[in-house]
Amino acid sequence: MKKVLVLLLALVMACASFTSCGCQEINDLEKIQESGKLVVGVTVYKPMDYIDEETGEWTGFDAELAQAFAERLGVKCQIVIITWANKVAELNSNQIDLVWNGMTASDELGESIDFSVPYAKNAQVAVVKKGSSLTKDSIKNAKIAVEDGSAGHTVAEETIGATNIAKLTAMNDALNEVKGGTSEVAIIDLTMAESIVGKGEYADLEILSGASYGEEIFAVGLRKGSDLKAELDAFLKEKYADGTLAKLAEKYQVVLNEDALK
Amino acid sequence: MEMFLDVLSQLAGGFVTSFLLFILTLILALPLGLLVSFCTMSKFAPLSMLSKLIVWILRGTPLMLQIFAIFYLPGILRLFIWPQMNTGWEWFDTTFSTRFIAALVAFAINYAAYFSEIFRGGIQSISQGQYEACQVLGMSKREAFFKVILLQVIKRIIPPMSNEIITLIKDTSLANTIAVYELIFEAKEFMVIDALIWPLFMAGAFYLLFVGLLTIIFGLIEKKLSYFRS
Amino acid sequence: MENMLEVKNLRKRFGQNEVLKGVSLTLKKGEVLSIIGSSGGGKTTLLRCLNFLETANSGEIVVNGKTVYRAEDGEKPELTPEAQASFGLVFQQFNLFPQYSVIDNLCLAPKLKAKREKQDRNEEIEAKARELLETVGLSEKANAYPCELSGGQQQRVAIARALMLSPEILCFDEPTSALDPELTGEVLRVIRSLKDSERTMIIVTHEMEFAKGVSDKVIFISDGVIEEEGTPEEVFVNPKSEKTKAFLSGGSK
Repeated sequence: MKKVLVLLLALVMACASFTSCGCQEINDLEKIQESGKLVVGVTVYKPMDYIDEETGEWTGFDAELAQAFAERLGVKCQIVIITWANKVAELNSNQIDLVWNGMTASDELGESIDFSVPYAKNAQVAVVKKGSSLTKDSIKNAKIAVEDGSAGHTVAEETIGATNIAKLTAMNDALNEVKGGTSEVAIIDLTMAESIVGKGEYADLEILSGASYGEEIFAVGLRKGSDLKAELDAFLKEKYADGTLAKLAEKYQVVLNEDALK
Repeated sequence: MEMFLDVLSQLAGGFVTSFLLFILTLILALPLGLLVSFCTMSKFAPLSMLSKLIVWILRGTPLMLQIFAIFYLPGILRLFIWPQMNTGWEWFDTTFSTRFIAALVAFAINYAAYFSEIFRGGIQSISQGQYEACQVLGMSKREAFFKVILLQVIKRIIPPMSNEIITLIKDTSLANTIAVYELIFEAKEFMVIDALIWPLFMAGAFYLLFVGLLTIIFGLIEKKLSYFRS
Repeated sequence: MENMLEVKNLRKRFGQNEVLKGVSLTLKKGEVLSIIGSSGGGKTTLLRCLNFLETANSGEIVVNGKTVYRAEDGEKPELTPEAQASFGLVFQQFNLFPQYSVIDNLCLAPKLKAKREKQDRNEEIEAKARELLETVGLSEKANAYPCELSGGQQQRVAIARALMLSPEILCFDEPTSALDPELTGEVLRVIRSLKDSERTMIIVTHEMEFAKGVSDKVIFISDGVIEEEGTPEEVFVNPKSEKTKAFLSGGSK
């Protein structure tokens, strides 16, 4: 019985460590150099991280940067697909070293993990069926589809104050809901919406004009207290200063967060 | 058409992972389940209590949670307990922390728990007379079990076992919780990358065909064992 | 002639309930002993103790002058294969192995024994099995499965199976109780033929007429003790004990 209690206590403390203060510094640099690889957790997310159909290699704004950062550390860059909802667990269990996937640096998330310099910006937009009579004011009472745990989810709940929210496991599922008519509105990333809404499978959808919500900033996620942060911030600022970031931003249509990078 | 073949080959790759997870789980969980059922039926009280407790936990919590715990918990505990000792774990990480192995371990112990209860029910349903006949004929307990009892147990547990095994192939999709690239994971990638929904239904067809095959196999086994009644 | 079997002061308790309260008996080679008595009197327990399906709490079992089992109260002696091999048992419910054919039911245990002793005696064992099937009149059923046989045929197979290991003493636990009345005859005929070939046997039975005809010795057990013993004439025709008289008059079967 005592052993069970000790185990339970350890579990509780481990859960607490998800949100702990991270007072202690974690020697990730040494670990990465010893293992010879930087493990970056991503989801397939255009234009940040995706696989080039011709080469079969990872590409995208974030993927290119991650590879450049690994090169600077003198190690191999290993990009792995993770389940987005598990990103904190992936980091805290040492399965990955960084989350580099156009991740919105929210205050809530900031309690569990550390962020790099916020290098890019984004907004959340509402996607509706073409010709829909909904407006920015009336979507509050519409059926809204979001990716569970995404920034769009927070916007739908807190900014819009909607009550009828369908929580899906991916942004595409939210778009499918609108396409299929089971929801009227999807709240998703602007970057994603621009790359696929109005095309292909989603040709009959459009971004609702004027319905853009709170700008958000993108940052790389690290373990709380990781000594990699200083290295990463220096890298990002350097790449901004030499114009590499601006070139990538143009190539992938990403909006840089210049205030922070200066 | 090109897209269709592309999806088909991608899904086939995912199915290989699902199938490997399925078959390796069976190979590990069947003997392990038998062992656990013996422990549960043991006359040594601490052993039977402990195995009953373990079976209770494994059957009483969601498999998804167990997969999550096995993959993430060792790393989380380690970072929490020894934040300064972040190096020196490469051997452990490369051997045990791969997503597939973690999922396999979770599936094997979870299914062993379910199988153990099916085995227990099967073994306890065999009449005492069979054991007594073996004893008076001078057979050892081991010989009695493997030569006389086991086949009768197998015949009795085929229907509940086939149910569990059919559930297993579909449960392998839970491995995508920790991003094991199995069938459903691959199908969902088409949704994310190419905005295609139909690959998901095609994945369903893979399961359906495989379950059809399993149903035929179990039918054959049942037929093969129908020559005797016990 | 030497006693083939000596049982001395056998006692067996289940919890607080003493089922055998010190049973002693002797049996000579080729003799047939019938044990009669009402249900719950301890006759089946006695048979199970002799076959080591129950462990007697105390007492001694001697076969051919050799002690195969001896226990003081509270200790549990280890069971030797020789002790087990001294006795064969035919069950009320036959207990054939359903997944094996008749011939394989007979051969399984002897073949396993040969394997344990690292000997190849398969042909010899199979020849013996066919011979025994002939004895019980079931040669043509060698490849049938138990579920294809009538109860009487199954019990005859069970008898042949018990004889495969050539036990010194063959025991029967109510061999016809699970059979339809019209099927008991064939089983009793087989048992009678075994007596003619000088088999030493102990039979727990409710078939009084049969016991009278086949036995050299009859024991009446009641409440865990031997209430009366003697030749069939002594026990069936001139019982001395009141309990025996009551039992035989049919008041309690």
